[in-house]
Amino acid sequence: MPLEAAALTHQRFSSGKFWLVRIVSIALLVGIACLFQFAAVPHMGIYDKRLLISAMTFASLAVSLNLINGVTGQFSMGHAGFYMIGAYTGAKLTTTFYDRHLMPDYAWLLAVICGGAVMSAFAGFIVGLPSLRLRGDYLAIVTLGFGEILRVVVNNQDGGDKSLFGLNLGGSYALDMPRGSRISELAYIFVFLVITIAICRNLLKTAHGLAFLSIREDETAAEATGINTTKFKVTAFVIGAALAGIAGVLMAHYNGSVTPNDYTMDVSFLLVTMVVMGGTGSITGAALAGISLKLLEESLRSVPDIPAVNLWAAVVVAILFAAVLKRGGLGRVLNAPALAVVRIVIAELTLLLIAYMVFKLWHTQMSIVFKVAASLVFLGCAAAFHARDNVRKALPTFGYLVTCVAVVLLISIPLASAFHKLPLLQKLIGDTTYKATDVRWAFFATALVITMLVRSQGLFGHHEFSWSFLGRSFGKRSETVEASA
Amino acid sequence: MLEVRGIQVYYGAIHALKGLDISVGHGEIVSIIGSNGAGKSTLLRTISGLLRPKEGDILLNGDSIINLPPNRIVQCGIVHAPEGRRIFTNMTVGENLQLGAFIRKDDAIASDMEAVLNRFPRLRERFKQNAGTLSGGEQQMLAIGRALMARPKILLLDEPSLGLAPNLVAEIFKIIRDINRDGTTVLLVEQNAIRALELANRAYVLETCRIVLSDTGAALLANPKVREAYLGG
Repeated sequence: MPLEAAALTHQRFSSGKFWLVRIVSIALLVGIACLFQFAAVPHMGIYDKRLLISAMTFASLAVSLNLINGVTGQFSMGHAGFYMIGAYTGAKLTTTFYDRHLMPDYAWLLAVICGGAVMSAFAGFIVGLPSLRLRGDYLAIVTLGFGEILRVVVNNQDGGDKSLFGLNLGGSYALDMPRGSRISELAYIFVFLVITIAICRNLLKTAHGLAFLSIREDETAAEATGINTTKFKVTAFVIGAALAGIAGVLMAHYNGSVTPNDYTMDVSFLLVTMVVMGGTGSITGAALAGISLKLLEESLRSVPDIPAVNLWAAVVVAILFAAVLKRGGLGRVLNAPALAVVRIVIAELTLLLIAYMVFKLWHTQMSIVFKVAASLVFLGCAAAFHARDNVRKALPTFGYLVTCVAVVLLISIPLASAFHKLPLLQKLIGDTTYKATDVRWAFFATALVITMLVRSQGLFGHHEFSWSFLGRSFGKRSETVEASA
Repeated sequence: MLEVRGIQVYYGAIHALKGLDISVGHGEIVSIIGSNGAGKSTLLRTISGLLRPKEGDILLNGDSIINLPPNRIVQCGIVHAPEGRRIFTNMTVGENLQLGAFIRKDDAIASDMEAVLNRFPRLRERFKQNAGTLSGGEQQMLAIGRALMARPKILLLDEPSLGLAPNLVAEIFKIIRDINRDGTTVLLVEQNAIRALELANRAYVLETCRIVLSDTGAALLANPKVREAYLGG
């Protein structure tokens, strides 16, 4: 089997095939982007477009953060800072120097992207230096501080006394860019997302990619192996920061203005959540988690307002219900074969329920983006359920959970009306309703908690998307898997 | 070949090595024995650049390597297989070996990989498996194999028999002897004093951060003090 060693140590592609693959994929990418831009975008509303753009921006940010957090294992919580530096550099350059007669828009955008990337990369270099001495949670604190300090500094740059060099970045208000300088487009952001993924993926394919991973695995061992851990840690920070900076430039030139409030700690936390949810180190996971979490967060805005009494009734019932369940669920009443049948029925019913919800969703006023995303999730669930053993095992549990929630909600209705009759409660929370915009983070957090409980290693674990992985996921068993099992 | 001169190493305020002198000649196996906490691993970590001594010097073929970073020291040919194996558990066996050759740019990597796989046939069987799924003995083989992939002139082995079943310990020691026979100098740190002394051309006894005895392996094996302290009387 000398082939194995040879395959690992030599180039995987012969150079002819290598370039063919590259050229074809670039052509495909450009084709899809053009199709997108000219066929789909003109029919989209502003809101739909904005949703797609922010989802893709966050996906690219999650992928670039994944390079630092997931792949190299350096816990950075200051990604919003790099994003901000890119956005402000781009916005300031455009407000100062932009002239539409000077050069075509795309050329100017490219120039600004370079500026933003360089500034962010420099910041990444500076922030990467502490990572040489700090590990884990200590580094997290330092990077968190970096992001916040940066935001506070920008907050004070209004050209007044407190500004460094009299720099005017709009202070705590928005820095508005001149008319006609909103030169970024959905297609650009799409192309950038793909490029980000390609950069990270190709980086990991090389021998150097293993070096990044080895630092996460065991830094001392990596050092003893002769890997210059200093160089690789700082490189990860520089590349990750530069990519985040470019995302910032593109977003700023889509919005036409930048404001410090768009780059708070929440953004960094959300990005870290995306990386963890996707499975640390998995590019595919980060990109998918980026898109879906951003869409989930936005879609929760349109949840109707909830009367406080109803919510509290549901909470009380849920607690009682959980206490009852703890004493033994269905397993106590039914024998094993009956239980298996019940589980399958529950699973199929769950799928039907999800299908019904997706169907209902198509008849609401929500954005087409949510509808398409929810449908895709449903199709994925259904396919996975019918093809994958472990998903088939997991779905009844999920269905069981859904059934429990439904039962809880049903019981809570009479309880809520009873609550209404209690004078004390009526006085305390009778008229209160929770606005969906306020409680959406609670729902968001609940969704996260459930996902992490069900799949603690993240959606993709350490895996990456590949056609063979897809095939394996859907039942096909390749020989290597069996050999290692 | 390798010479350590009077090194003083501190962990913060703790004085971990108090002026050590050892030397390793070309083609030798040199063992260092001693009880827990005597400073054996600290010595290896200092030689491979993971720790920096306050005083003293380390010479490789007459040139000081004391100020070099660990990756440069590996390039000089001193390769450390650290205590507790420390393989990359989420990577495959093949990737672990590939990373061992990270500092090399030459064309012989593939043939060296073959040589390592021939030396450890079990690693060939598990080539595409995640290293974390290997047994303890296999992990130790992988750790040694990874170190060999860097083409060491001097191999530093830290407790290769730790936590292994007796028959595996014998196998590992046989492998170390083979590696040495093929021309690699070995500096071995061991708690299993009998095996280490049997294998060694020369050996040092390390006690409370100092060298207290040094002699040929056979002589130390016969030394009544050593027998009493380390070989169970």
